[in-house]
Amino acid sequence: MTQFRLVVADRRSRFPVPSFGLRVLFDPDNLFTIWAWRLALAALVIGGWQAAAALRLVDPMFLASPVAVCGFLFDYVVSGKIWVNSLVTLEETVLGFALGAGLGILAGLVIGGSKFLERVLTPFLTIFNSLPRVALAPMFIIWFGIGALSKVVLAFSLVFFIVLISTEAGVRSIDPDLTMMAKVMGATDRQRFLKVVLHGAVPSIFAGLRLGAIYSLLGVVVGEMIAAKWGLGQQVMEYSYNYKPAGVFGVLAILALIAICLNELTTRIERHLGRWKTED
Amino acid sequence: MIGYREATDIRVKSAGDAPDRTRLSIKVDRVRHEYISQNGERVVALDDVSIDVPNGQFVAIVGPSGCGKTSILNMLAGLIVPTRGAVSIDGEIVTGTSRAVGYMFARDGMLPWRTAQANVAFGLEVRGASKAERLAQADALLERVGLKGFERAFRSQLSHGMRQRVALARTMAIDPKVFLLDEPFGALDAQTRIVLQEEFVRLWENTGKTVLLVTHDISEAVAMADRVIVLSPRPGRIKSDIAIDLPRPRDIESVRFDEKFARLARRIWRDIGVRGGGDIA
Ligand SMILES: Nc1ncnc2c1ncn2[C@@H]1O[C@H](COP(=O)(O)OP(=O)(O)OP(=O)(O)O)[C@@H](O)[C@H]1O
Ligand SMILES: [Mg+2]
Repeated sequence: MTQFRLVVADRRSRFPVPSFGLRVLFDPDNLFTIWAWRLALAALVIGGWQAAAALRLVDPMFLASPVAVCGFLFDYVVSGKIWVNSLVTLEETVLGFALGAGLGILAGLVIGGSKFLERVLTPFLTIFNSLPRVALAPMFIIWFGIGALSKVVLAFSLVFFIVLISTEAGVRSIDPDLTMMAKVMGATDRQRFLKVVLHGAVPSIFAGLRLGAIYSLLGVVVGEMIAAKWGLGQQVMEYSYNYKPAGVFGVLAILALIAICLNELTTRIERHLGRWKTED
Repeated sequence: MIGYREATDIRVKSAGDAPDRTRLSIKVDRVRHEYISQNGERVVALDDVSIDVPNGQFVAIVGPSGCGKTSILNMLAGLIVPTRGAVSIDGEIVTGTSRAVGYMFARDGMLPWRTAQANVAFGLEVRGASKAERLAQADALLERVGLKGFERAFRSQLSHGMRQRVALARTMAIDPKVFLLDEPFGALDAQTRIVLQEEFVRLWENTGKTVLLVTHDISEAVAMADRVIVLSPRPGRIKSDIAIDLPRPRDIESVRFDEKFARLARRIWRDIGVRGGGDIA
């Protein structure tokens, strides 16, 4: 006889997990367990990193220690540089995102609603979307200057196609039974569009928006890295030119925080509107 | 909306009156229909089909798969245009979808993001009825199809049979003059099917509405209809037109054990020509 039981196909785990009576340690539904593991993992990585730096296993020119990064962040906040640069990056990101998302949804609805347009435009959309547009960033700088405009345009060009394509896919994925039902129930074209097509495309549109928000930030940061006076991307470049790894990692940490916030924000809006299940 | 309320009042008054059976409700006039298949060939789905249905009659159409039954309903619903001939409802040639027609399919077509109540209210909503009006109407209809207590349920929370009930209530909510039913009970298990057949007949009797029911189930056709039309294999032509002179009101369940029922069903089986018309029912 074996000492432990196999918990086969327990609803809590996707595969059999040996149970030593310590199931709570591996309980995927226990929030406390999950956070404990997350913290432990983070502590391990950061601790190992700090140890490697302290023991001079890595040249501090290449990799700043966590303590050094924290020190940098402290100065960064105190000097106020964090606000100036974050604000510029955030503004450009939000502007590029809003324009790209708005026009992307609009274009996606129009193209998704027309078989003709869809057939004509699909090859062009595929080309544009698979083109690595960040490679065009230097051209955008030449065309639109080193100010905010070039970053907004770059972010826009990323967000627009992402949102357009997911909106179009959402429109096209609507069950034809539903539009047929609406038609025979006497809905006008306009009602059919608003009450069935638009509504049915919402989940797909939101998936596009969530991705678009992150890509907007990416576009802005790349644009700033190439040429800008302010912004977190420009800061990354400046610190790496000046061999200040603590600055590079510190700014990256700020960017990660912004990305998490953006993701959280879009997820929340989605969940809020996500009560798209109307009650009446 | 004032206009709407007036319309419902008229409906309540006229509901009890006997339908004017001398007037034609549906006319299918020498219709031929061709489809172009994917490889460009012409497929003749229907050939020279004529059907006259007087007001208030319940007609069932049976026939082998692919003989054009759905095509006939689609024409009457204004979804397709016949290649030759014409179809009319209440004397008017059908040129597009009409709000006087209620069409119900085998698939429920429930909007998954709406509650059962909001699904039933859909037709009234697109007609501009006030919220209070349409919700009251939806609740009343849900109760009539046996779904009281499920007003707030979403599609994912309902069984197959319950979804079809919602579809039935949704179709009844718009109070159409003509019901087009395309195998509405086809996807259900035998028991639920009989329950819903009974429910429909109970709700339909005395309303004076015209019904065109397409079905594969011959027992269903005989048990429910006043008249059964048998179509031939593709291209569909009318093979026979049989009056079902079983008394009304009918009990869908027990009428199946009636001798006359068996005779009629056997006759239809023979006309469809699957077998010699031997052992059924
Ligand atoms: N959109 C279409 N394009 C090409 N052919 C079609 C189309 N719709 C139907 N047909 C053909 O027309 C014929 C009649 O179709 P229809 O759907 O009316 O038959 P049906 O009697 O309802 O069949 P079933 O009992 O299987 O539902 C079939 O042979 C089908 O292949
Ligand atoms: Mg059919």
